Amino acid sequence: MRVRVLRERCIGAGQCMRAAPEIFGSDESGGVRVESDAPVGDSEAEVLLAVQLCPVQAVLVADG
Amino acid sequence: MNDTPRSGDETVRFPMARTCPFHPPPAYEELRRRSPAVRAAYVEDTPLWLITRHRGALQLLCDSRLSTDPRRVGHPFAAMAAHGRQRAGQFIDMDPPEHDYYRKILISEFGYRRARELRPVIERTAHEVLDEFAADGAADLVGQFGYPFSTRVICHLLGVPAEDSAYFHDCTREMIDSFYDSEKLPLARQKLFDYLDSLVGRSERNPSTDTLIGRLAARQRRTGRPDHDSLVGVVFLLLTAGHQTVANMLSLGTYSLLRHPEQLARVRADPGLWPTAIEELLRFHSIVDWVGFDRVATEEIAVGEHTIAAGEGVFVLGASANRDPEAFLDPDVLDIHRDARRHLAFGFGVHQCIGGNIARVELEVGYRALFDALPGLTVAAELDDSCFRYEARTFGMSRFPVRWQP
Repeated sequence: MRVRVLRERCIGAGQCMRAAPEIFGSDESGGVRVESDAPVGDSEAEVLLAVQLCPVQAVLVADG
Repeated sequence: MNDTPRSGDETVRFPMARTCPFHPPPAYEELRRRSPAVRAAYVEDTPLWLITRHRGALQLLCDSRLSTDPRRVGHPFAAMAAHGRQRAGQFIDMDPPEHDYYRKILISEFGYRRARELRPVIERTAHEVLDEFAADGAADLVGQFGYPFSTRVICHLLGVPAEDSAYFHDCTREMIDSFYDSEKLPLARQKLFDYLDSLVGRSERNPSTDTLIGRLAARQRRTGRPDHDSLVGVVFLLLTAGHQTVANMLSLGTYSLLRHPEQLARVRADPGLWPTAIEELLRFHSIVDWVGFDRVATEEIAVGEHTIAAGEGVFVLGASANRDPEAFLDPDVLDIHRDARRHLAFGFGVHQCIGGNIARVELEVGYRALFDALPGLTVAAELDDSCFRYEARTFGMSRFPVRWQP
Protein backbone atom coordinates (compact mmCIF):
# COMPACT_ATOMS: atom_id res chain seq x y z
CA MET A 1 0.00 0.00 0.00
CA ARG A 2 1.18 3.51 -0.85
CA VAL A 3 -0.15 6.58 0.96
CA ARG A 4 -0.43 10.07 -0.45
CA VAL A 5 -2.07 13.24 0.87
CA LEU A 6 -3.44 16.20 -1.05
CA ARG A 7 -1.94 18.90 1.13
CA GLU A 8 -3.71 21.73 -0.66
CA ARG A 9 -7.00 20.14 0.32
CA CYS A 10 -6.11 19.56 4.00
CA ILE A 11 -8.08 21.61 6.55
CA GLY A 12 -6.19 20.34 9.60
CA ALA A 13 -9.01 18.24 11.03
CA GLY A 14 -6.42 15.89 12.52
CA GLN A 15 -8.41 12.74 11.83
CA CYS A 16 -5.57 10.98 10.00
CA MET A 17 -3.07 11.78 12.74
CA ARG A 18 -5.40 10.34 15.38
CA ALA A 19 -6.25 7.27 13.29
CA ALA A 20 -2.72 6.40 12.14
CA PRO A 21 -0.23 8.34 14.25
CA GLU A 22 2.79 6.46 12.86
CA ILE A 23 1.93 7.33 9.27
CA PHE A 24 0.67 10.91 9.46
CA GLY A 25 2.39 13.82 11.16
CA SER A 26 2.31 17.61 11.12
CA ASP A 27 4.21 19.86 8.77
CA GLU A 28 5.62 23.18 9.99
CA SER A 29 2.24 24.92 9.63
CA GLY A 30 0.28 22.17 11.39
CA GLY A 31 -1.12 20.59 8.23
CA VAL A 32 -0.59 16.96 7.33
CA ARG A 33 2.64 15.31 6.28
CA VAL A 34 3.15 11.65 5.42
CA GLU A 35 5.88 10.31 7.71
CA SER A 36 5.94 6.84 6.21
CA ASP A 37 4.29 6.22 2.86
CA ALA A 38 4.40 2.41 2.90
CA PRO A 39 2.45 1.17 5.95
CA VAL A 40 2.48 -2.49 6.92
CA GLY A 41 0.38 -4.67 9.23
CA ASP A 42 -1.98 -2.80 11.58
CA SER A 43 -0.98 0.49 10.06
CA GLU A 44 -2.65 -0.48 6.79
CA ALA A 45 -6.02 -0.81 8.50
CA GLU A 46 -5.43 2.48 10.31
CA VAL A 47 -4.68 4.23 7.03
CA LEU A 48 -7.87 2.85 5.47
CA LEU A 49 -9.78 4.28 8.42
CA ALA A 50 -8.01 7.62 7.95
CA VAL A 51 -9.21 7.62 4.33
CA GLN A 52 -12.79 7.27 5.59
CA LEU A 53 -12.46 9.76 8.42
CA CYS A 54 -10.79 12.58 6.48
CA PRO A 55 -13.63 15.08 6.02
CA VAL A 56 -12.19 16.46 2.78
CA GLN A 57 -10.93 13.24 1.15
CA ALA A 58 -7.32 14.40 1.27
CA VAL A 59 -5.88 10.95 2.07
CA LEU A 60 -5.34 8.64 -0.90
CA VAL A 61 -4.06 5.09 -1.06
CA ALA A 62 -2.91 2.97 -3.95
CA ASP A 63 -1.65 -0.59 -4.32
CA GLY A 64 2.07 -1.15 -4.35
CA MET B 1 -40.96 11.59 -7.18
CA ASN B 2 -41.14 14.26 -4.50
CA ASP B 3 -43.20 13.58 -1.43
CA THR B 4 -44.68 17.05 -1.31
CA PRO B 5 -47.42 16.78 1.28
CA ARG B 6 -50.66 15.71 -0.39
CA SER B 7 -53.95 16.85 1.06
CA GLY B 8 -54.66 14.78 4.15
CA ASP B 9 -50.97 14.03 4.72
CA GLU B 10 -49.58 15.33 7.92
CA THR B 11 -46.85 17.89 7.23
CA VAL B 12 -43.58 17.30 9.08
CA ARG B 13 -43.01 20.46 11.13
CA PHE B 14 -39.50 21.54 11.98
CA PRO B 15 -37.62 22.16 14.24
CA MET B 16 -38.59 19.47 16.73
CA ALA B 17 -37.65 19.73 20.39
CA ARG B 18 -35.90 17.02 22.35
CA THR B 19 -37.94 15.53 25.17
CA CYS B 20 -35.17 13.57 26.89
CA PRO B 21 -31.59 14.65 27.72
CA PHE B 22 -30.16 11.48 26.19
CA HIS B 23 -31.92 11.23 22.88
CA PRO B 24 -32.66 13.27 19.77
CA PRO B 25 -36.26 14.35 19.15
CA PRO B 26 -38.31 11.11 19.23
CA ALA B 27 -39.73 11.61 15.72
CA TYR B 28 -36.26 11.27 14.15
CA GLU B 29 -36.40 7.49 14.32
CA GLU B 30 -39.55 7.33 12.21
CA LEU B 31 -38.27 9.93 9.73
CA ARG B 32 -35.02 8.00 9.32
CA ARG B 33 -36.91 4.78 8.70
CA ARG B 34 -39.23 6.48 6.21
CA SER B 35 -36.66 7.99 3.86
CA PRO B 36 -33.09 9.32 3.55
CA ALA B 37 -34.61 12.71 2.63
CA VAL B 38 -37.85 13.94 4.17
CA ARG B 39 -39.73 17.03 3.13
CA ALA B 40 -40.60 19.32 6.05
CA ALA B 41 -41.99 22.76 6.80
CA TYR B 42 -39.56 25.00 8.67
CA VAL B 43 -40.64 28.08 10.67
CA GLU B 44 -43.16 30.19 8.72
CA ASP B 45 -43.88 27.18 6.51
CA THR B 46 -40.70 27.33 4.46
CA PRO B 47 -40.44 23.95 2.73
CA LEU B 48 -37.09 22.22 2.99
CA TRP B 49 -35.44 18.79 3.17
CA LEU B 50 -34.26 16.85 6.19
CA ILE B 51 -31.40 14.40 5.60
CA THR B 52 -31.92 11.59 8.07
CA ARG B 53 -29.33 8.83 7.55
CA HIS B 54 -25.60 8.54 8.14
CA ARG B 55 -24.64 7.63 4.58
CA GLY B 56 -26.64 10.45 3.00
CA ALA B 57 -25.38 12.92 5.58
CA LEU B 58 -21.74 12.07 4.77
CA GLN B 59 -22.40 12.42 1.05
CA LEU B 60 -24.29 15.69 1.20
CA LEU B 61 -21.91 17.37 3.63
CA CYS B 62 -19.18 16.81 1.01
CA ASP B 63 -21.36 17.82 -1.95
CA SER B 64 -20.25 21.06 -3.57
CA ARG B 65 -23.74 21.55 -5.00
CA LEU B 66 -24.87 22.51 -1.50
CA SER B 67 -24.02 25.99 -0.25
CA THR B 68 -23.78 27.33 3.31
CA ASP B 69 -24.20 30.95 2.19
CA PRO B 70 -27.34 32.29 3.92
CA ARG B 71 -27.58 35.18 1.45
CA ARG B 72 -28.73 32.71 -1.19
CA VAL B 73 -32.43 32.56 -1.86
CA GLY B 74 -33.91 29.46 -0.28
CA HIS B 75 -31.29 29.09 2.45
CA PRO B 76 -33.11 28.14 5.67
CA PHE B 77 -31.46 31.01 7.56
CA ALA B 78 -31.82 33.59 4.77
CA ALA B 79 -33.92 35.87 6.99
CA MET B 80 -31.12 36.10 9.54
CA ALA B 81 -28.20 36.40 7.14
CA ALA B 82 -25.52 38.89 8.08
CA HIS B 83 -24.69 41.38 5.36
CA GLY B 84 -22.00 43.94 4.72
CA ARG B 85 -19.40 44.42 7.44
CA GLN B 86 -20.97 41.80 9.71
CA ARG B 87 -20.55 39.13 7.05
CA ALA B 88 -16.81 39.62 6.58
CA GLY B 89 -14.67 36.77 7.90
CA GLN B 90 -17.62 34.54 8.84
CA PHE B 91 -16.21 31.65 6.87
CA ILE B 92 -18.82 29.18 8.16
CA ASP B 93 -21.25 30.99 5.84
CA MET B 94 -18.89 30.99 2.84
CA ASP B 95 -18.38 28.43 0.11
CA PRO B 96 -15.06 27.41 -1.42
CA PRO B 97 -12.88 29.02 -2.64
CA GLU B 98 -13.66 32.10 -0.49
CA HIS B 99 -14.00 29.84 2.56
CA ASP B 100 -10.72 27.98 2.02
CA TYR B 101 -8.43 30.96 2.60
CA TYR B 102 -9.62 31.21 6.20
CA ARG B 103 -9.33 27.49 6.94
CA LYS B 104 -5.78 27.49 5.56
CA ILE B 105 -4.55 30.40 7.63
CA LEU B 106 -6.10 28.85 10.76
CA ILE B 107 -4.60 25.34 10.46
CA SER B 108 -1.61 26.41 12.52
CA GLU B 109 -4.01 27.69 15.23
CA PHE B 110 -6.45 24.77 15.37
CA GLY B 111 -4.63 21.78 13.90
CA TYR B 112 -3.73 18.56 15.70
CA ARG B 113 -0.28 19.76 16.66
CA ARG B 114 -1.51 23.06 18.09
CA ALA B 115 -4.11 21.24 20.18
CA ARG B 116 -1.38 19.07 21.67
CA GLU B 117 0.75 22.12 22.45
CA LEU B 118 -2.19 23.75 24.22
CA ARG B 119 -2.78 20.81 26.52
CA PRO B 120 -0.71 22.12 29.46
CA VAL B 121 -2.52 25.48 29.40
CA ILE B 122 -5.87 23.71 29.17
CA GLU B 123 -4.92 21.49 32.13
CA ARG B 124 -3.84 24.49 34.17
CA THR B 125 -7.10 26.27 33.39
CA ALA B 126 -9.19 23.25 34.42
CA HIS B 127 -7.40 22.98 37.77
CA GLU B 128 -7.65 26.72 38.33
CA VAL B 129 -11.42 26.64 37.83
CA LEU B 130 -11.87 23.51 39.96
CA ASP B 131 -9.72 24.92 42.79
CA GLU B 132 -12.21 27.73 43.15
CA PHE B 133 -14.91 25.40 44.47
CA ALA B 134 -13.42 21.94 45.11
CA ALA B 135 -13.58 22.45 48.90
CA ASP B 136 -17.30 23.30 48.87
CA GLY B 137 -18.70 19.77 48.45
CA ALA B 138 -21.50 20.99 46.18
CA ALA B 139 -21.73 23.04 42.98
CA ASP B 140 -23.58 23.75 39.78
CA LEU B 141 -21.28 22.22 37.18
CA VAL B 142 -22.72 24.32 34.34
CA GLY B 143 -22.17 27.70 35.93
CA GLN B 144 -19.11 26.89 38.03
CA PHE B 145 -17.16 24.53 35.77
CA GLY B 146 -18.36 24.09 32.16
CA TYR B 147 -18.73 27.75 31.25
CA PRO B 148 -15.81 29.29 33.18
CA PHE B 149 -13.45 26.57 31.91
CA SER B 150 -14.42 26.71 28.24
CA THR B 151 -14.69 30.52 28.25
CA ARG B 152 -11.24 30.97 29.77
CA VAL B 153 -9.69 28.51 27.31
CA ILE B 154 -11.15 30.20 24.23
CA CYS B 155 -10.31 33.68 25.54
CA HIS B 156 -6.74 32.58 26.21
CA LEU B 157 -6.53 31.00 22.78
CA LEU B 158 -7.70 34.09 20.94
CA GLY B 159 -6.15 36.73 23.15
CA VAL B 160 -9.29 38.15 24.73
CA PRO B 161 -8.20 39.67 28.07
CA ALA B 162 -9.30 37.49 31.00
CA GLU B 163 -11.04 40.43 32.66
CA ASP B 164 -13.32 40.77 29.62
CA SER B 165 -14.38 37.11 29.50
CA ALA B 166 -17.55 37.65 31.56
CA TYR B 167 -18.67 40.50 29.29
CA PHE B 168 -18.04 38.42 26.20
CA HIS B 169 -19.88 35.48 27.76
CA ASP B 170 -22.96 37.67 28.40
CA CYS B 171 -22.86 38.95 24.80
CA THR B 172 -22.84 35.44 23.31
CA ARG B 173 -25.56 34.31 25.69
CA GLU B 174 -27.76 37.23 24.58
CA MET B 175 -27.12 36.37 20.93
CA ILE B 176 -27.95 32.72 21.39
CA ASP B 177 -31.12 33.53 23.34
CA SER B 178 -32.39 35.88 20.63
CA PHE B 179 -31.81 33.45 17.77
CA TYR B 180 -35.42 33.60 16.54
CA ASP B 181 -35.94 37.27 17.37
CA SER B 182 -35.24 39.29 14.23
CA GLU B 183 -35.25 42.56 16.21
CA LYS B 184 -33.05 41.56 19.13
CA LEU B 185 -30.56 39.39 17.23
CA PRO B 186 -28.88 42.18 15.22
CA LEU B 187 -28.56 44.31 18.37
CA ALA B 188 -26.99 41.48 20.36
CA ARG B 189 -24.67 40.77 17.46
CA GLN B 190 -23.71 44.43 17.20
CA LYS B 191 -22.74 44.58 20.88
CA LEU B 192 -20.21 41.78 20.50
CA PHE B 193 -19.00 43.25 17.20
CA ASP B 194 -18.34 46.61 18.80
CA TYR B 195 -16.29 44.99 21.53
CA LEU B 196 -14.24 42.88 19.11
CA ASP B 197 -13.87 45.81 16.72
CA SER B 198 -11.96 47.76 19.34
CA LEU B 199 -10.03 44.72 20.63
CA VAL B 200 -8.85 43.87 17.11
CA GLY B 201 -8.08 47.53 16.44
CA ARG B 202 -5.75 47.65 19.45
CA SER B 203 -4.00 44.51 18.27
CA GLU B 204 -3.57 45.87 14.73
CA ARG B 205 -1.81 48.93 16.07
CA ASN B 206 0.47 46.76 18.19
CA PRO B 207 0.46 43.13 17.01
CA SER B 208 1.80 40.65 19.55
CA THR B 209 2.54 37.18 18.24
CA ASP B 210 1.50 35.71 21.62
CA THR B 211 -2.15 35.54 20.65
CA LEU B 212 -4.21 34.38 17.70
CA ILE B 213 -5.59 37.87 17.12
CA GLY B 214 -2.05 39.25 17.23
CA ARG B 215 -0.74 36.68 14.76
CA LEU B 216 -3.58 37.42 12.34
CA ALA B 217 -2.90 41.14 12.75
CA ALA B 218 0.76 40.52 11.96
CA ARG B 219 -0.28 38.54 8.88
CA GLN B 220 -2.44 41.47 7.84
CA ARG B 221 0.60 43.78 8.05
CA ARG B 222 2.64 41.36 5.96
CA THR B 223 0.10 40.41 3.31
CA GLY B 224 -2.79 42.87 3.54
CA ARG B 225 -5.18 40.05 4.50
CA PRO B 226 -7.37 39.41 6.40
CA ASP B 227 -8.55 43.02 6.47
CA HIS B 228 -9.89 44.57 9.66
CA ASP B 229 -13.54 43.60 9.20
CA SER B 230 -12.63 40.05 8.23
CA LEU B 231 -10.34 39.68 11.23
CA VAL B 232 -13.15 40.86 13.51
CA GLY B 233 -15.49 38.39 11.81
CA VAL B 234 -13.10 35.46 12.23
CA VAL B 235 -12.69 36.18 15.93
CA PHE B 236 -16.44 36.65 16.30
CA LEU B 237 -17.08 33.27 14.75
CA LEU B 238 -14.41 31.45 16.75
CA LEU B 239 -15.59 32.95 20.03
CA THR B 240 -19.26 32.25 19.54
CA ALA B 241 -18.77 28.71 18.20
CA GLY B 242 -16.08 27.70 20.61
CA HIS B 243 -17.25 27.85 24.17
CA GLN B 244 -20.93 27.00 24.60
CA THR B 245 -20.53 23.69 22.78
CA VAL B 246 -17.64 22.54 24.96
CA ALA B 247 -19.45 23.68 28.12
CA ASN B 248 -22.55 21.71 27.13
CA MET B 249 -20.59 18.56 26.36
CA LEU B 250 -18.74 18.78 29.67
CA SER B 251 -21.92 18.79 31.75
CA LEU B 252 -23.94 16.36 29.61
CA GLY B 253 -21.04 13.93 29.28
CA THR B 254 -20.44 14.03 33.03
CA TYR B 255 -24.12 13.36 33.62
CA SER B 256 -24.05 10.38 31.23
CA LEU B 257 -20.94 8.91 32.84
CA LEU B 258 -22.47 9.26 36.31
CA ARG B 259 -25.47 7.30 35.07
CA HIS B 260 -23.18 4.53 33.82
CA PRO B 261 -20.89 4.00 36.83
CA GLU B 262 -19.40 0.76 35.48
CA GLN B 263 -18.26 2.57 32.30
CA LEU B 264 -16.96 5.52 34.32
CA ALA B 265 -14.98 3.14 36.55
CA ARG B 266 -13.40 1.49 33.50
CA VAL B 267 -12.24 4.71 31.91
CA ARG B 268 -10.97 6.08 35.21
CA ALA B 269 -8.98 2.89 35.80
CA ASP B 270 -7.52 3.02 32.28
CA PRO B 271 -7.18 6.66 31.15
CA GLY B 272 -6.01 5.44 27.74
CA LEU B 273 -9.71 4.77 27.07
CA TRP B 274 -10.68 8.46 27.29
CA PRO B 275 -10.24 9.30 23.58
CA THR B 276 -12.56 6.42 22.59
CA ALA B 277 -15.04 7.35 25.31
CA ILE B 278 -15.09 10.97 24.16
CA GLU B 279 -15.88 10.05 20.55
CA GLU B 280 -18.81 8.00 21.88
CA LEU B 281 -20.04 10.83 24.12
CA LEU B 282 -19.87 13.19 21.15
CA ARG B 283 -21.86 10.75 19.01
CA PHE B 284 -24.37 9.93 21.70
CA HIS B 285 -25.20 13.51 22.69
CA SER B 286 -24.90 15.17 19.24
CA ILE B 287 -25.60 18.55 20.82
CA VAL B 288 -25.11 20.39 17.53
CA ASP B 289 -27.74 19.05 15.20
CA TRP B 290 -29.42 20.58 12.13
CA VAL B 291 -28.54 24.10 13.23
CA GLY B 292 -24.90 23.51 12.32
CA PHE B 293 -25.74 21.78 9.05
CA ASP B 294 -27.85 24.34 7.18
CA ARG B 295 -27.51 24.29 3.42
CA VAL B 296 -29.20 25.34 0.19
CA ALA B 297 -28.99 23.41 -3.09
CA THR B 298 -27.41 25.36 -5.95
CA GLU B 299 -28.23 22.58 -8.42
CA GLU B 300 -30.58 19.64 -8.54
CA ILE B 301 -29.43 16.78 -6.28
CA ALA B 302 -30.82 13.25 -6.23
CA VAL B 303 -31.10 11.60 -2.80
CA GLY B 304 -32.53 8.09 -3.02
CA GLU B 305 -35.75 8.41 -4.96
CA HIS B 306 -36.11 12.12 -4.16
CA THR B 307 -34.81 15.17 -5.94
CA ILE B 308 -33.73 18.28 -4.10
CA ALA B 309 -34.33 21.17 -6.48
CA ALA B 310 -31.95 24.12 -6.88
CA GLY B 311 -32.92 26.80 -4.39
CA GLU B 312 -34.38 24.38 -1.83
CA GLY B 313 -33.11 24.42 1.74
CA VAL B 314 -31.59 21.41 3.46
CA PHE B 315 -30.90 20.50 7.08
CA VAL B 316 -28.64 17.53 7.68
CA LEU B 317 -29.86 15.93 10.90
CA GLY B 318 -26.53 15.12 12.51
CA ALA B 319 -28.22 13.77 15.64
CA SER B 320 -30.28 11.37 13.52
CA ALA B 321 -27.27 10.24 11.45
CA ASN B 322 -25.43 9.51 14.70
CA ARG B 323 -28.27 7.17 15.75
CA ASP B 324 -28.49 5.39 12.40
CA PRO B 325 -28.38 1.63 13.05
CA GLU B 326 -26.78 1.18 9.60
CA ALA B 327 -23.73 3.01 10.93
CA PHE B 328 -23.74 2.20 14.66
CA LEU B 329 -24.85 -1.05 16.28
CA ASP B 330 -27.45 -0.46 19.04
CA PRO B 331 -27.17 3.27 18.40
CA ASP B 332 -29.33 4.31 21.38
CA VAL B 333 -26.97 2.64 23.84
CA LEU B 334 -24.05 4.56 25.31
CA ASP B 335 -21.01 2.31 25.04
CA ILE B 336 -17.68 3.99 25.66
CA HIS B 337 -15.85 0.97 24.23
CA ARG B 338 -17.38 1.19 20.77
CA ASP B 339 -15.51 2.74 17.86
CA ALA B 340 -17.69 5.82 17.27
CA ARG B 341 -15.17 7.75 15.19
CA ARG B 342 -17.43 7.96 12.15
CA HIS B 343 -19.85 10.17 14.07
CA LEU B 344 -20.94 13.52 12.67
CA ALA B 345 -20.91 15.52 15.90
CA PHE B 346 -18.37 17.87 14.28
CA GLY B 347 -19.94 17.60 10.83
CA PHE B 348 -18.07 16.48 7.70
CA GLY B 349 -16.72 18.11 4.56
CA VAL B 350 -14.83 21.41 4.32
CA HIS B 351 -16.94 22.93 7.11
CA GLN B 352 -16.18 20.24 9.67
CA CYS B 353 -15.77 21.97 13.05
CA ILE B 354 -12.48 23.84 13.12
CA GLY B 355 -12.31 23.40 16.88
CA GLY B 356 -12.51 19.59 16.84
CA ASN B 357 -8.87 19.03 17.79
CA ILE B 358 -8.95 21.48 20.67
CA ALA B 359 -12.43 20.45 21.83
CA ARG B 360 -11.25 16.84 22.18
CA VAL B 361 -8.38 17.98 24.40
CA GLU B 362 -10.67 20.23 26.45
CA LEU B 363 -13.12 17.39 26.99
CA GLU B 364 -10.51 14.84 27.99
CA VAL B 365 -8.72 17.27 30.29
CA GLY B 366 -12.03 18.57 31.66
CA TYR B 367 -13.59 15.19 32.49
CA ARG B 368 -10.40 13.80 33.98
CA ALA B 369 -9.72 16.85 36.13
CA LEU B 370 -13.33 16.95 37.28
CA PHE B 371 -13.54 13.33 38.42
CA ASP B 372 -10.08 13.57 40.05
CA ALA B 373 -10.80 16.80 41.92
CA LEU B 374 -14.31 15.93 43.10
CA PRO B 375 -14.16 12.45 44.68
CA GLY B 376 -17.44 10.59 45.10
CA LEU B 377 -19.19 12.91 42.64
CA THR B 378 -22.97 12.37 42.44
CA VAL B 379 -25.99 14.19 41.10
CA ALA B 380 -27.29 16.31 44.00
CA ALA B 381 -30.97 16.29 43.25
CA GLU B 382 -33.53 14.90 40.87
CA LEU B 383 -32.96 16.90 37.67
CA ASP B 384 -36.20 18.39 36.40
CA ASP B 385 -36.89 19.78 32.93
CA SER B 386 -35.64 23.23 33.91
CA CYS B 387 -32.09 21.83 34.06
CA PHE B 388 -32.09 21.18 30.30
CA ARG B 389 -32.18 23.58 27.39
CA TYR B 390 -34.77 21.75 25.30
CA GLU B 391 -35.62 24.81 23.20
CA ALA B 392 -32.04 25.95 22.63
CA ARG B 393 -30.53 25.60 19.19
CA THR B 394 -27.55 23.81 20.73
CA PHE B 395 -28.73 21.26 23.27
CA GLY B 396 -27.29 21.52 26.75
CA MET B 397 -27.89 21.96 30.42
CA SER B 398 -28.77 25.20 32.17
CA ARG B 399 -28.03 23.82 35.65
CA PHE B 400 -26.34 20.68 36.95
CA PRO B 401 -26.33 20.43 40.77
CA VAL B 402 -23.75 17.93 42.07
CA ARG B 403 -22.27 16.86 45.42
CA TRP B 404 -19.01 15.16 46.45
CA GLN B 405 -16.85 14.50 49.52
CA PRO B 406 -14.36 17.34 49.70
